[in-house]
Amino acid sequence: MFLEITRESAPAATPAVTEAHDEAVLLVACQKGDLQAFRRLFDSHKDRVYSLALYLSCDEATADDITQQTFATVLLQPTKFRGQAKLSTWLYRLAFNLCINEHRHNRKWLPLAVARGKEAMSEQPSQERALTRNELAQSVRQAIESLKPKLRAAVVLKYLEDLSYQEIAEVLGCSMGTVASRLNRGHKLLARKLVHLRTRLEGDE
Amino acid sequence: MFRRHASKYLSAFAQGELPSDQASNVATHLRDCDRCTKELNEIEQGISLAKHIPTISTPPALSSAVETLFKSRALISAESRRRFTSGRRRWVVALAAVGLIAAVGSTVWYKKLRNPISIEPIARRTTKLEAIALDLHKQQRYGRPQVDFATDDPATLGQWVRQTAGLELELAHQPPGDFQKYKSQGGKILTTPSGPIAVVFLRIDLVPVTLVTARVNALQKREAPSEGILRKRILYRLDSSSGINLLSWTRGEQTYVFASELPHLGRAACFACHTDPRRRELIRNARQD
Repeated sequence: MFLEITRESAPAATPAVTEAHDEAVLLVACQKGDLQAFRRLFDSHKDRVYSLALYLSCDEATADDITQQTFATVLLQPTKFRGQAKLSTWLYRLAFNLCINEHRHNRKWLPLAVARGKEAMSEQPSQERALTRNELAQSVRQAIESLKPKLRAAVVLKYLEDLSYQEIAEVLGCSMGTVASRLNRGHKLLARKLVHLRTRLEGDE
Repeated sequence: MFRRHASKYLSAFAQGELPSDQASNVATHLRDCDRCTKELNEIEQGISLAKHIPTISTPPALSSAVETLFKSRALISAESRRRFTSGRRRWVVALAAVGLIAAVGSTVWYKKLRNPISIEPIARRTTKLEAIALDLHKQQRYGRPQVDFATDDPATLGQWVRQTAGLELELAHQPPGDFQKYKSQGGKILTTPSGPIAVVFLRIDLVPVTLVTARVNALQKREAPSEGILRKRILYRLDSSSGINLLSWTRGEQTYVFASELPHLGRAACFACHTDPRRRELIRNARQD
């Protein structure tokens, strides 16, 4: 039984097209040195690019560098963007590739929980403990950071960047079947690691 | 309908990423399969949890660093262009080097493997070496020449010249087919202030041939013919008053002159040294301008 996932074609002339057009206009303005345009582009993507870099690299200094390098590429080599994907997808792909290069260079992509001496996940908070929404988010973050890099990348792109399977496959340079498989494993691991939060989550919902 | 479990489709199913036919297959399977239903529940909980992933704000220092980067874009762009240009220059240099290597390689190949010869007539004044060759050849033609060393074996004569004057003369033991064809009379060394000049008297099919050789630096610059670039260059002159053919060429540090009355400009005299059949063929077929 082969995993074959296809995405049904989106209807034509949609907001996505307009968005792509706007992004292209923004990029051209940046190339011409329009500081306002660059600020708009940077402001609308900086947090997502930085978050992606931080989740993948598990190191704030590296995430800083990767974010800078990603936007430097936008400035210095804008022709690399051929308009075949959304600008955001291209940015994530740039950031992801930079992370991969950094990883190859330094070989330090440990799950963050491991890097921090396993402090994060070793503490099992009691189910009775009241969690604020912020605490829930922090627990989820720690659980995601403890995933293996390949699973982490797929999960982060799906939930942080809200990409489709097709877009994730483009960013990661793999097939949609591989994306589905990694997300499957990621979801199960998250559910198991955060089993103590299920009650709380159901209560919220 | 799935015969086996639908585990690997479950995330895609839960997130609406499956095509409709596959999604309905999974839904049908789930109705009868407790294991996959449990797994789907677990995945859905994973999905609900993952949705709480927090976005991390960019540190303010990073924002200002990127803005600075943008402002200095002009400088960076200039640097980038310079790199591009120098990169292009590197390509040009690399291509030129490849071209040069190919040209030199082809020339070497052409010279070493093909080693062609051209015989060119010359109209300039008779050189010192040619004059000596003519003079001594006439002596040989009209009588027995005066020699310092007499032998009828060309190879022994060549060895004597090497030892006495330090000049290279590769007169060879002739192959069996040339038996009795090449005979030497003897040789003499002329001592000049600029260096020795060796003279060798030969008989090829009983026709007298005189070979004279000296170092290039013992001659005036214009008197030593160039070796030739793509073809081995041999200069030809007919002395009209005596009907003697003169062939001159340079090899390495020495210049040679043959004087003879042999047919075909006297090129058969070259076989006194060249015994290799391929080389002889080249000499026979040498282009005559």
